[in-house]
Amino acid sequence: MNPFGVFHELQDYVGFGPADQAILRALHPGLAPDFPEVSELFYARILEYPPARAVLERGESSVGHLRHSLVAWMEGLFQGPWDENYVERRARIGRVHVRIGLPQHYMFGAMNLLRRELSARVSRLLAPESPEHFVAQNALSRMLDLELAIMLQTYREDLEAQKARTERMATFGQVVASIGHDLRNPLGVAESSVFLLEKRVGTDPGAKKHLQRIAEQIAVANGIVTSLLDLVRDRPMDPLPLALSEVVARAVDLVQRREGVKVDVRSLAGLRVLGDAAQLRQAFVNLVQNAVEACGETGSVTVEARMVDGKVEISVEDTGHGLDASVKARLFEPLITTKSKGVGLGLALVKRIAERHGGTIGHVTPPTQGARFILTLPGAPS
Amino acid sequence: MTSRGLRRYLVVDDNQPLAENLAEILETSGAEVDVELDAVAALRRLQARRYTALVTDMRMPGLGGAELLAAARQADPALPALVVTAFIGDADLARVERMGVLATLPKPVPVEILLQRLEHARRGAVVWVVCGASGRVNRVMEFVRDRGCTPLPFTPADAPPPGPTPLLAVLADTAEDEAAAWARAHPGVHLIWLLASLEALATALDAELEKFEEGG
Repeated sequence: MNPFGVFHELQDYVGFGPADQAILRALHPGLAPDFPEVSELFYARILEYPPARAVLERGESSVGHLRHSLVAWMEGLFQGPWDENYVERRARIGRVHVRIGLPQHYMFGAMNLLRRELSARVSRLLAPESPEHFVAQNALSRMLDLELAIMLQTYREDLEAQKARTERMATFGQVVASIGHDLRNPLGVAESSVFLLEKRVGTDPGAKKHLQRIAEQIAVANGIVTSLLDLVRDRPMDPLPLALSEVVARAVDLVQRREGVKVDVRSLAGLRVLGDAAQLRQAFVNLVQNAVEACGETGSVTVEARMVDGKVEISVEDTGHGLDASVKARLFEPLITTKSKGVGLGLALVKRIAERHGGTIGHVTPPTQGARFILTLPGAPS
Repeated sequence: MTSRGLRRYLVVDDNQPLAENLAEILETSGAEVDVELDAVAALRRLQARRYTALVTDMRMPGLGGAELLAAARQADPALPALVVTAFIGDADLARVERMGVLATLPKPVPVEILLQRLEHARRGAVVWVVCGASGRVNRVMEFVRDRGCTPLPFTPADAPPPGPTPLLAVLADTAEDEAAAWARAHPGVHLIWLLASLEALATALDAELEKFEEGG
């Protein structure tokens, strides 16, 4: 059932009708001046409770912005209209909670605080023993229960969707792993046969050339299999403090580039990261290779780094033509590529490697026209 | 028969073309090679004669590479072994590492490394790598393997594995009192207590290998 269906069913169940709506609207003018204060109290309570505060800090909005949103939320609560759009707006809140990893029970705590504060203010507006006070408290209580129900319903829906996505990826991973491994045996036979033939082919330049091509193509195929397998399984990590300049230098050495493309590595001296040397080298090879290819015939690639709050932030920037908006949104998903010969595993793999290291990878549009990727990795003491 | 005379390898893989190709490559390097396509037949060979080293696949119908290696070491405890597999990251690989191997190589097989490791393989040249919860165990093992020896990793709390007397025991990243206690518990084992660099290990291992060559 969708959140609006749940909302309707519950309205019937708790008997929330036009009378309640009228009461809520009538309460609005008296309560509205207090909304900023309630919002203030609400976030002050969250901020003084460390686990809740941590969730808030993971979120996407500043506390100032959130306080403002909560005032708007209360405005809506008392003014309606309580229609499909209303439910959709409310549903979004539940989805944000899934995204920032808010445990469900915090919603009850938060709703309890709002209920207490709003209820106390209703009691100040209306004489506590009066029938108006009784029905007003009832209407408020029903409405807040409905709010909580919408939030929990969307929370659950999103969590289930997330789980289904994870399961799909796991199945995809198993299929990929199985095909990948099965391909390695025939590749192994072909490669060792080429090795044996190379010793026997003599001086025929044509034969040599074709053997060379077969060997190269086997290496390409094997590289694809390796990238796919790296993507779907958790390779054991061997994290050590590493000199960033060495890791980057070895990666740059492995990147093939045209004569007109310059790779400029700056300000890495003294920076150390905690990581697995082979995996990080792979991440830098992929980033620098993409940057070099984006440059085309001529251009330059700049790799630089700095320390930010104990993390090392490395930027790889090119003077190419930049990225399409359509590509940007799905940049780090597997099988997304803009290259005629690419399979689209490079950046997905960089993302996996960054995540395994407790780091991040992102793209920013630089003031120039090219592309800039920023990799952050945990720093290591020097 | 051991390190510098005729070298004789046994290659075991259920993928016949691959097994034959590996054999041919090894023969080109001047060695004598037997090929078997399953572990049971391989075991019969291992009981009948001594090999310089065993090269085996991991996943095979019936007995796998790990079971084959365990049984092979019963028949011939001094046998060095090298594993090739399409499944890097298999749980069984950790098992063969603990039993002691010269290398675990992926498929397609990096031929140069295969040749280099087998060329240096020394029967019975075992080094115990005694490490606590250490990040250096992998590097110590590679170091030992580069010299043709078989590293056997275990923790100070474990009982040492069966097999030949080790040339050396390397105690890495172990507290001083723990290292001393271990040494007292294992008299007669040549012990290197590895603190910082691998240089001390290099010197000691090279000296032991020289004695080993003369003796063998």
